Amino acid sequence: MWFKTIFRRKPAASRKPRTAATRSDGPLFDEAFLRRLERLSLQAQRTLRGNPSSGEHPSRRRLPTTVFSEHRPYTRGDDVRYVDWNAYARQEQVLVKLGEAEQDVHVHLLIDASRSMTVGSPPRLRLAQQLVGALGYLALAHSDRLRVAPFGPQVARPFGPAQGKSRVPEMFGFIERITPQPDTRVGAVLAAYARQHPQGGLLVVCSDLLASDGLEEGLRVLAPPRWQVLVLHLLDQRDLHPDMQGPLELEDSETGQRLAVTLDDATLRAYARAARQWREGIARLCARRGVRYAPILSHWPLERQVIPYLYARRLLS
Amino acid sequence: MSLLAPLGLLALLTLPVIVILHMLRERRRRVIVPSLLLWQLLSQSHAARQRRRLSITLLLLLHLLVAALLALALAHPQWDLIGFGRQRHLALVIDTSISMAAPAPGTGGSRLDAARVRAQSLLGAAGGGSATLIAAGPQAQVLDSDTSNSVRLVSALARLQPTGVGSDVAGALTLAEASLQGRPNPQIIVLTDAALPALASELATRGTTVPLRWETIGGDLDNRAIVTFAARPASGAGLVQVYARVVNYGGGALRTVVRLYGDGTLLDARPATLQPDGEVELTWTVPRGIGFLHAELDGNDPLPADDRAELSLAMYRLARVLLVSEQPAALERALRAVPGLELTVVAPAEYRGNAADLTVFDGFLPAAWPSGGVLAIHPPRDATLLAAGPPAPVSGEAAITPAGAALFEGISLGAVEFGPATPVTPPAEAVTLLSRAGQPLIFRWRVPGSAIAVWAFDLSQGNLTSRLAFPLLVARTARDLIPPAAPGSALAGATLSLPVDPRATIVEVTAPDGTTTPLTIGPEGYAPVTFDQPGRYTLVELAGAQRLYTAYVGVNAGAAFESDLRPRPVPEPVAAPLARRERDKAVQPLWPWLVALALIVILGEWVYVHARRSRGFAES
Repeated sequence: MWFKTIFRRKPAASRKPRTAATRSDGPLFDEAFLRRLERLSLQAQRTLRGNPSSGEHPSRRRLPTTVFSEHRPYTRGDDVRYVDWNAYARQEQVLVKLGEAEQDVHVHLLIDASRSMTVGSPPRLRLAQQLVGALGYLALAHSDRLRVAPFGPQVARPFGPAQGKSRVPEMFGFIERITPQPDTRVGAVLAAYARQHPQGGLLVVCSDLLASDGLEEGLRVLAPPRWQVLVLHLLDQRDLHPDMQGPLELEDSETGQRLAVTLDDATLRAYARAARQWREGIARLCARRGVRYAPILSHWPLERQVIPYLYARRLLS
Repeated sequence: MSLLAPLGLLALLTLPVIVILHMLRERRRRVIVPSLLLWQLLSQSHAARQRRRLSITLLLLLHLLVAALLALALAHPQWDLIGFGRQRHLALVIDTSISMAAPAPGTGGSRLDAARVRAQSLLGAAGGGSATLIAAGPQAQVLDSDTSNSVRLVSALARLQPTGVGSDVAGALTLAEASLQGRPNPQIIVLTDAALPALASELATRGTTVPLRWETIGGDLDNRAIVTFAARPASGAGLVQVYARVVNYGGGALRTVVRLYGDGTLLDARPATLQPDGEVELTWTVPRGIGFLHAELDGNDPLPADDRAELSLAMYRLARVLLVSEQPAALERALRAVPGLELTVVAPAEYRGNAADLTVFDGFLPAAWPSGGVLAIHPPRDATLLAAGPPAPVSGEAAITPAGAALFEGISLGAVEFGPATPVTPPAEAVTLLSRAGQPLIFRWRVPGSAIAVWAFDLSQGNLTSRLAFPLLVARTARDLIPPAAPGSALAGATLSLPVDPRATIVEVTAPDGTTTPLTIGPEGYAPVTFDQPGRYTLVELAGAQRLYTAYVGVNAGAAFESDLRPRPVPEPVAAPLARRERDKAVQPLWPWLVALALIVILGEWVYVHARRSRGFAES
């Protein structure tokens, strides 16, 4: 009845971003977890271009070093301390000993802060914050150059570049203060971010990927070897298998758009099939673009399930 | 239940509109999802199927219920409380005229059989109420009254037979109304083949206080019948002229043969051509000596009973008359002029109590009244049978009493001088027919075995014997004291009161089927007899073991209105008029209740929607 809704209070509260709830959930980690986490490191590829002055990641560069890997002819300017005199005695040619150089890498952590990340129980944004916090901690602990950038329709003010463990509290504070954005444009954000950082690096995208624009546009400009991209796809179990029935009016948490559906068993089966195809399409796209893809359910506990999962998939080492 | 404004039912068209609105805009519970991206991936065909499907929800049913209730309320329904919760009291009038013996097409039986079946059906539908069964034959008769015993009713139905010509439906309706007087929820149903002479005129306009419904039994049948069969004496030689009228009640021409039989012997066979709806008149002259005639028609039609007609030719009842008089000339002359009398004249001295059908005493009375008819003229003063009265004056005009009007009808007494009256005192039971100055001149009465008339004047002292009134008065008095002959024919189902010889102690009637029934003779000397069956009846008057009189009566089934088996319209059903106050009490408008019920449903719907909304918000 139309008059039934005259005095009804609008359910605006249910559409508010759940940032307060997110912040009131307590600290992201405890110290014991961070100590256990410190034993891990990000698995960065050699192809990444970093700064060999610091860092612990292997590099494709060969520099004169005492650790032998191969020889090259001496050129002017080479440090004579790395001349292999024994080889000169045998071959009467001045050779310089080359060895593998370690480097630091640019670690870019992009966290989806759109409103869709706040819907669900538990909300995906909380897990995303924990994931980004953990990966950021690993980056800082291993002397990598870290950038943390929340994004919605565009990239918000980022954290970093930062290097060194001394920046960890600052990073955690930044992550906890992330404000949800109205909507998401993953492809455009990734493309814009790649243009802003042409040196490349290890890019971790932590998102639910529920965006209407094409993810492929963004992944195309994040091509290896300059970029090593890791997509952490945060999924809610109820997104894959909704526990709803009957006639419903679905409302998009970001756009407010509504869709009338009548959910019965056949419709739910069709939806589950479409969701599986959507997820498989993203996985194929990532594989085609050389992007490592890891779907993560939002209800997985971080230390007991998410970290071992990433370790098993060689995203961590 | 009736509707005062049936057009209000057009509001029922809102029902499909409500269904369409529910299909177009179904109210759904709102759920916030992260994104519609995945939902929009559903195939278009699946979404279309979802749109076309109408979900039967409680809200939809409530909306339809409210709309239906309001639409019905707009039609202003009224609930007729007459008969609600009350038992039905039924009066069944079944036509038992002879035409009900015709076959009923499609039933395999007669019209009466079909009426029996229909009556059993109606009695079964009457529930626990009572029923009265009335046979509408030539005389209406209540077969079973005010009973709910179905066995008795079925048994009474089984006893029904076609009884004669004509149906006293008006009388049957009167009996039915009387039996339903004061009964709640009464109903009269008439089962008839509509072969009734008074259907259109009397019955259609007949008022009734009870609902009346007519049901027609039987169909369209062609029939031929002998509807008239009569005789009269021809001039001379004792010949008799016989007349018959044959009618074709059908749409096709017919050639047939009419055969005339005299005392069982074929006298003539005459071909006749009957045009559609036409008739043929036939006459014969039959010789003397034949006592009983019957005519037959090669009808080959559905009602054989009216293809035969019978007639008795015994027009007079032969009687022996004994005249006891010293001067019998005038009386003898008058009595010999009366046909059918065999006269014997004796002097008073010779009278020995001779047996006769009529004994005429002139100036003489015996010690006891002889049996049979007795006419005592100028009784002597010393007669012991009559008490002497004071001398009567001679002056004054003779006056006819109301009881004597029939005797003196058409007889002029203006110039008649009766002379001095005999001073006798009539018995208390005597009826005076003619008096003068308060003194009875002619009176009559009955004693067991005798019918007595007294002329209390002397024929020789007046001029009556020389007037035309004398032979007429003698003949009428003789016919009054001697019962007339039985009728030659009668219609089937007719009931006649036959005058009986005063000496008779019993009258036996033998029907055409051979059954003999004794009749009771009334105190006035009449015996009522009913001729149920077509054919020849035999009447026998007995005085102990002595047979006094034997007569034959031909009973016929052919009649103009009865033999026409084609359907005729029956009157419209009649609803019983009700007093306005009673009608207002009996009719209860329903629309306020319907509107109230619709409001209750709306309130329930509001509660349901509110509860569902609250639950939806809580889940969100």
